[in-house]
Order: sequence, then structure tokens, then C-alpha cells
Amino acid sequence: MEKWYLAVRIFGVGFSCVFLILGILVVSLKISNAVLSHFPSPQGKK
Amino acid sequence: MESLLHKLLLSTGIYHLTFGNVIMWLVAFILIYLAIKKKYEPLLLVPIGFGIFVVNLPITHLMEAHGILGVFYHYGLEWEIIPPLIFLGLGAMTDFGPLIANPKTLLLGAAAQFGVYIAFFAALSMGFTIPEACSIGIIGGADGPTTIFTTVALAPHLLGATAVAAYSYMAMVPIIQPPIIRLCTTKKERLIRMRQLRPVSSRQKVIFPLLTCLLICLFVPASAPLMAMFMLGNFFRESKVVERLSSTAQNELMNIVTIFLGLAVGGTMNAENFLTPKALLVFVMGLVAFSFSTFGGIMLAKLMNVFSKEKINPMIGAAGVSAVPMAARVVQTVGAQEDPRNFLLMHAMGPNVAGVIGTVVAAGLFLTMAR
Repeated sequence: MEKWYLAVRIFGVGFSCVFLILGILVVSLKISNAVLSHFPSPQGKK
Repeated sequence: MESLLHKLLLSTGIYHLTFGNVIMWLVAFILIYLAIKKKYEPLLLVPIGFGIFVVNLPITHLMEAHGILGVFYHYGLEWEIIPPLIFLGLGAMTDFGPLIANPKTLLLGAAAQFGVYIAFFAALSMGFTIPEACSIGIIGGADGPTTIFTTVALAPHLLGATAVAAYSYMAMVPIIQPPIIRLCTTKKERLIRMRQLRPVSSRQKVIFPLLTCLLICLFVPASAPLMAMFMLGNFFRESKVVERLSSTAQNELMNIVTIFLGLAVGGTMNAENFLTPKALLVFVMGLVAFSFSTFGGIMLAKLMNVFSKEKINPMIGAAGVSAVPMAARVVQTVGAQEDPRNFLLMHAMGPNVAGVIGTVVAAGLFLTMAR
């Protein structure tokens, strides 16, 4: 019983944390992309 | 004279040969055959197959503390050196451009970890312990080095089975995924064309590995050895000032550690360890994990379409299982069968590389919670 309790916790916490962490990365990327778009690339390099 | 001959006979491998050794030679030759004839992950399956062959030659003591394979295993895998070095090379080979251009595809990489947890529960229900189930589940991430890294830490006795299952199924992605993709999507969905990805500046590409490394290592420190090396490799590539280091990480270093990795993994597969019902179950569970990971990625892509104005082709969710770039190529092939002018490869590369990041995070969480 204890094994299954731990397993459910690993699943619940683990899977939601994968989404949460990658979700935070998505938001961070969007912010960094938005910020960087305000600065022209040096010497017009892409 | 007679006793001398008897002593000589006892010192030969022939006297100590078991039926299990012969079976393992057969396993080794099957892997070598698949690698040479079918080109299934030859860079890994050739050294793994050869490692299995030689470790099952009796009384050679190759896997003992001072045996050559034992040394590779101890310093390479137990010390957690080889998988991060492989990740260094992978990072130097990876272009994160498609992911940076369309960041939301990162979520598809997260959804494709669904199979990891399904296989985890399936393994538990079959009597595996929690650390063993974590090692089996992570096969669903379709990422060899991460599977090895997790298994060595949690269930080293299953290393041979999980590693071979991961690499075999990765090679079989073009066989496993298309029927699942067709089953989970309608023809209309498969025909969806996606807008061309915007160009990504070199500055964005340089910032990406720093940002990703910072965030993921802060949240899941246990994944730092893999993530830090992965992002360092990519930083070499994108900084464009250390071409030699980038090239070494992608080629020479990668090739050298691949030899050590293959031999060390093959070396763990002696008859006593491998010929067990558990090892067979690992292969079954690996297939379950792969299938449900594909399913999870596609389902999230469909869900995103419900809420998003700009539709994405749900097939790209299937590329969320890592297996770079095979899974993305499968999506392109299945898409092209419906509409030869629908180019999905670059769109699928986003979730594909996101799958690698997702699997490393999932592995780090397993290590944190199950160790």
C-alpha cells in the first residue's frame, strides 16, 4: 500500500513538475524573445 | 600427467561454458545482425553486441574490478561520466532554432513523457520495485544516455535490458510510431499545414542554452549533469568562437565515449543477469512506454488546437518522444504521404528536441524522489 502511495505521489508531482518547469521555460523564452526583438542584431546579422 | 591435463582442462573456458552463455551469444549476434544488416543504431548496437559476446566467454573476468569492461563500467557509468559526455556531443549537434521560434512546442515534449509514467505504473503492477519501475519508465523518453544515467543510479542490475530496449525501440521508431499516429489523428488533422517558422537570431540562440540550463538546474538539480553538459555543447555550437571544441564534442569525443558506453553496457549483460523474466518484461514495458509517449504528445497537440487560433498539425506531438531526429522524420514521412507538399520536418524538430529536455527533467525528478 505504501509503495502505491509513493508511486502516485511520484506520478502526480513528477508529471505536473515536468509541465510546470517546461511551462516556465516557455514563458521565459517568450519574454527573452520579446526583449531581444527590441534590440537590433549587431551589423544586421540574423 | 593426467592431473596436469585435468588442470589444463579446468583452466579453459570450454569447461565452464554454460547454456546461458550460448543463448547470450545468440542475443549478441542478433544485435550485431540488426546493426549491420538493418542499420538499427549501428554505432551503439555493434559495441553493445560485441560486449555481450565477450563478457559471455567464460572465466575471462572482463567485468571484474580490474577487467577492461569492468573498468569502463566503473569509471564510465558508475561515476556518471559517459552519459553527460554523450550529452555534450548531442548539444553541440542540436539546433534549437525551431524550438526557439515556436516555444509552445516545449509543452509537447512534456506531454510525451506520459508514456514514462504509464510504463512506471505498469512495471509496478508487475512486481518491480519503485527504483526499478523508474528505470523502466524512462525508456519511454526514447533517450539512451538518460535511460542509462537513471538506471545506473536506481537499478544497475537492469542496465543491460533498459539500455538495449531504449536503443532498439529508438531504432524502431519508424515502425512503431506511424500506426499510432494514424490511429490518433483524422485525415483532416494530418493535412493541416503550418505557417513557416520565423527566423531566429544568433543572439537568441546563444541565450537559449544559458537560460535553459539556469532554469532547469535550479528547479531539478539532479538533472544538472546531463542538462549542464547538453547546454554547454550547444553553447559551444552557438557561440561560434570555439569551433574546434564544438567539432571535438560532436565527433572525436562522441565517438570515443560511444565505444566505452557500448562496451560497458554490453558487459553488464551476462547470462545470469540478463536471462531472467524481469529482463523480458523490461522489453515489453519499453514498448508500452514508447507507444503511450507518442499518444501523449499527439493528444496535447490536439488539445492545444482547441484553445489556439492558429492550428498546429497534431502529428508533430508524436515527435515529442526524443529519438532525435528519427521521430521528426517519421512525422514528415507520414505527413508527406497525405500531402506531399506539406513540410512538417522543421515544425516537428521543436517538440523533438523539447522531448530531450523533458526526459532529462523527468529523469531528474525520478532521481530526486525515488533514490
